[in-house]
Amino acid sequence: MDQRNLVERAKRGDHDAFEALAGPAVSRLDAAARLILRDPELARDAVQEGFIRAWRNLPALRDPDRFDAWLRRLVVNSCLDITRRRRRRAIEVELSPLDSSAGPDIATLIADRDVLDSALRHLEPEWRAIVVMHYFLGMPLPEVAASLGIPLGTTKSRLHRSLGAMRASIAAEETHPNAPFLEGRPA
Amino acid sequence: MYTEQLERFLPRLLDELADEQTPDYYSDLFRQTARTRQRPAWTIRERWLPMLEIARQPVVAQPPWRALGLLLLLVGLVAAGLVLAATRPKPPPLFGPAGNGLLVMSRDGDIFTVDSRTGATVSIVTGPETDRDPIWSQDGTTVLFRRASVDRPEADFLMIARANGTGVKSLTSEPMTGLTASKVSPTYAPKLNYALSPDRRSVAFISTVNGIPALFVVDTDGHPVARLDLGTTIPISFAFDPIGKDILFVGAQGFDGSYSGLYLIGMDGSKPRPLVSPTLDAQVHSRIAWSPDGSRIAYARFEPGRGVSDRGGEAARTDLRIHIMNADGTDDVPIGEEDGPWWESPTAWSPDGHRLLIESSIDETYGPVIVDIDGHGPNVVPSFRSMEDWYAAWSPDGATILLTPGDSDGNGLQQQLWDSRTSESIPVRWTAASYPSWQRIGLP
Repeated sequence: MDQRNLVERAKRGDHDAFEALAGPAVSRLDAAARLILRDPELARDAVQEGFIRAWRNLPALRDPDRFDAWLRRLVVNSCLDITRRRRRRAIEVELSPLDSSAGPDIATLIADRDVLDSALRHLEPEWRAIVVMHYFLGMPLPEVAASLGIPLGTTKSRLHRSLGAMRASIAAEETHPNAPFLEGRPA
Repeated sequence: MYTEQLERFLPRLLDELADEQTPDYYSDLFRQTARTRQRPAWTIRERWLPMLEIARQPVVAQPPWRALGLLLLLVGLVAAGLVLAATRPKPPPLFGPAGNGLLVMSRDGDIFTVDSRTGATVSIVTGPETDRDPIWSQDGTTVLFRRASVDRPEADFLMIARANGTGVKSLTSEPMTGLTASKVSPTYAPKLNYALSPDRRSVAFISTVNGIPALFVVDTDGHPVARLDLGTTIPISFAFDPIGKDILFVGAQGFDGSYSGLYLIGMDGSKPRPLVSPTLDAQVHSRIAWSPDGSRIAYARFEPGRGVSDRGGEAARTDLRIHIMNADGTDDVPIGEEDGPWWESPTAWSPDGHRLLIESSIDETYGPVIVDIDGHGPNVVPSFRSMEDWYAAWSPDGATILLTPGDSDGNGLQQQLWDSRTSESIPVRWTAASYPSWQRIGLP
C-alpha cells in the first residue's frame, strides 16, 4: 500500500496505518537522537515525544508526501527541547589554525570511533544536531534550516564552525606507535 | 584538505558510531501512541498554518518525579556501561593501523584460526564439507569463505560465519562459479573474487554467468543476490572503497582481458563511471589496491616498452607500471624508475598508507617488494625470492607481512612472517593452504 494511502488512513485514526508508516523510521531516528543527545535514554524520550506528537497532530498534515520529513523534524526538535530543558552547558573548543606539516595523520585519527565520539561531544547540541541532520539523516541544508527555524546562512555558518571544531578536537589527539616485530623460531 | 577528508568520511563514520538497530522500546513506543488521542483536524489551528508551527510546538513540562526516575536510570546505565566496557573487546579503528588479531586459514576442508605469536590453532568451522579460502571482515567480527558444492565440483557456495565459527550460513542459494580469478581468466594473477564490504553488511563477488564473468552484490542478512549492470564491460577484479559505498573494478571488453580500464560503481549499481578509460595499447592490469583511508588508488597498466636498442638486445615489450592517483581519478602519477623492472603491479597498501607492497620483476623473478610511497625510505626486499605466484597480507599494525611463496610449479610453500622494515623472515609454525587473512582488532 503506498505511503499516501497510509497517511490518509492514519489521519483518520487508523493506528495500524500509522505504525506501518512510522515503524520503518524508528531505528534511524533513534540512532539520530542518540547521536544528538549522546544518551540512549534521553534519545528514547525524544523519539517517544516526537512520535506522540506525530500521531496527535497527524490530522493537521496537509501534504502526505512530506510525512517522512515532518516526522524527522518532530524528533529532532524533541531532541533540542530536551537539551533546553536540561540546560546543559556545552564545552566549546577554541578554533585554532592547524599546522599541516606536523601532527598526526587526520585520516588515521578519525578512524578511531572514540576520537569521533569525543569530537561530537564537544559540540553544542544545536550544532551537533545540524551535523547529524545533514550528514546522518541526509537532510539538505534548507530543510535543516527550516526544521530548526533559523536562516539558511546561519545554518551553513554553524555547520562550517562545527566541522572546524571537530577537526580541532580530532587534531588534539596523539597517534599510536607501531608494534614491534613478532618473535618466532629462527630460520 | 582536512575539510574534504572529514566531510567525506562523516556519513559513514556517523553510521558506524550510531550502530543503528531496532530499539528495544519499539513495541512500547506504538503502545503509547495508540493510547494517545488524535486531535480532530478542525480543532488544530496550525492546520491552516505552515507545518513548522506544528514541528515547533512547545513541550508541556513534565512532572518532577520523572527527572528523578531518569537520574536513577542514568546512574544504573553508566554503571552497567562501565562493567560492559571493561569486559568487551575494543573494536578496531574503522581503517588504518589496528591491533593484530588472529589469522584465519583453511586446511583439509576446515577453517581454523591461528595465533601468529604462539602458533596455537583453533578449528572454527569443521565437518564433512570442503571449506576454503576464508577472509576476515574489516572489523574482525566476521569470516567469509567458500564451500565446495557436492554436485558441481567447479562451483562453490559463499558462506559467512562469526569469528568463533558460529552462525554459519550460505549467502547464495545456488553454488557460484568463478570465485577465484584463476578460473575466470588464466592470464591474470590468481586471487579471491569475493570480499565483505567495510560495514560487513554486504558481499560482492565475481561469478560467471554462461561462462561470462559478472559482478554481484548480496546482503549478509539474506536478501537476494543482485547483479550489477556493467553494460558490456566484463569485470576482472574488484575492491571495495574502504570508507564509502563504491566498488572499484577492472573491466575489460574482451574475455581475455583485452581493452581493459578502471571503473567505479555504487554498491547499489548507481553512478557507474570510468576512472581510467581503456585504450588499445595501455591495458589496466587486474591488480588494484585502495589506500586504507580510501583517498588513493594504486593500479598497474601496460605501457609501450623499450625498443631493441634500449634494452641491450632484448626484444621490445610492454612494460607494466604502477600508477597512484586520487580516488576521483585525478593526479594520476606512475611510480618507480623508468629504467627499473619491466613488470610491477600493486598488491596491498600498508595499514598506515605510506608504503605499498608490490610484485616486481627484479632479476627476472616476480617477487614481493615494499616501496615507500612518500620516498622517505629504501625499498625492502625479502631474503627469499619466489619464482611464481605468491600471496600476502599485512599485519594490521603494519610491522609484518604474512607471505605464502610459490614454487615454479605453482604450489604453496611454507608461509613466512616477513619483517616489513627489513629483509628478515621466519617460517611459521603452522601449515595452511589458503590466502592469508589477518584479523583487525582494537589497538592496545
